[in-house]
Amino acid sequence: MKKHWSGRAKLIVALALILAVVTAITSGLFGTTWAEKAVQTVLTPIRGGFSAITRQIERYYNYTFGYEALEAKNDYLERRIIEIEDQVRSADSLERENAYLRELLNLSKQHDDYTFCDAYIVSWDSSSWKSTFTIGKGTNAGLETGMVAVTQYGQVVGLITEIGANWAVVTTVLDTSLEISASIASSGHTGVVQGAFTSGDAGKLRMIYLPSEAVLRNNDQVVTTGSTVYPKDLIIGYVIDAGYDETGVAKYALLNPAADFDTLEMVFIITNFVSE
Amino acid sequence: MLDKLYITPKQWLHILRWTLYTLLFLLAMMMQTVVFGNHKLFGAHPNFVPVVITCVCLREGAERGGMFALLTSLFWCLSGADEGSISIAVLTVVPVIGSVLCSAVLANRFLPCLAITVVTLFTEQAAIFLFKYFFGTMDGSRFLTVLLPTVLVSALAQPIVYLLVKCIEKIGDAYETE
Repeated sequence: MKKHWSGRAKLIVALALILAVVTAITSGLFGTTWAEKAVQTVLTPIRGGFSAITRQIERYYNYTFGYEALEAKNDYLERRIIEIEDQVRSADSLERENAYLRELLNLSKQHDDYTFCDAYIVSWDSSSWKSTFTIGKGTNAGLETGMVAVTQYGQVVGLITEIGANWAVVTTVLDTSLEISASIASSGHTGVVQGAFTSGDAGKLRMIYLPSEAVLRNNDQVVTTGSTVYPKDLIIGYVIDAGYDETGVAKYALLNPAADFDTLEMVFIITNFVSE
Repeated sequence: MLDKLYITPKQWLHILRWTLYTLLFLLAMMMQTVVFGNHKLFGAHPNFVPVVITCVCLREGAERGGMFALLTSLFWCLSGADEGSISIAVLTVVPVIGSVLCSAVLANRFLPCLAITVVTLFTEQAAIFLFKYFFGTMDGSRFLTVLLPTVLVSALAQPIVYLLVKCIEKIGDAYETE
């Protein structure tokens, strides 16, 4: 055994352990290092090419098996549902705001101030333990950390958490590390939405810190409350379950995310908006 | 001076062999992050990179294979892999120890390679699981529902990777037996 365990093999093992400690410390101290940025910058065009090829193959496959017509129909129906839900949400919000603020805001025109930057998803984090993806645009396109990514229907997908010249990592709302301040559209009760990704409810969201008097109904819409980095009233998800948390003082709600992550190919980053 | 720049046919074949290993690694990485990044197989994301690294390390031996494992796992870590620094330690140390075990005790064949690949995958996933579990962001039940399916689904790729690595390994064999 000893003769097979050469000096070089020992050196490699020692180097691996040292490098693991060094990279852990440097990424802990400095965040994304220059080496990571260089590797990501080199990999992004390769991933982009691979992603384009994959999309073409998927399209060809779908076309061959006749799903394309179904997809178009589904897309149309989804758009119609979103339009109708948007009208309902606007009505709910207006009704509440009428009561408190006497028609302070006209929600039908609220999205006019948004500036969008579209970007294709070039790769997904392959791990079963977190939910992030990389897009093929970065600081060169005017993106910044903290900007919000939405679908073409205005549903929240996630926030930019890392960025380079031609790439950016978006942490989705499904990830437990992301917390977004949100409110129930119909009642106005506020809380914090985070991913339920690692708590046994994969693919669901959890809204916490809701007041105990909050009345939650199935399919209640949950929207952003807005901040300096993302606007107000972007739809995050729908209530599917609710209950009291471990303390018994506050309520929580389980949500279905509004965005369909399974079919996501492209996202829109809100690069500018007028905060109220 | 110019004599030293001359690359012998044997060296060309070595360059070809290691280039092919690198391309196989990149292919596995792209398959993992781009093709299967947003798709699950049997409820788990396949993890092909450790499979390629382990197979190459076992076929090439603890020294050359170990160096390949070290460089590729470093690259994998820097590419933003969720495993982070854990991947450098696990994806180098386990395959190197496996390679030493293979050459000293076990035969360097398919079944030992499969077993060591499973051990590498399990060690890597368990390390991430434990890390997240102890920092309170992971539910204990995910050990059964995520960790084991991930290991099993990823191990399904091992026979194909093993065959490819075995084919690539033969490049330049004629010169080495001379």
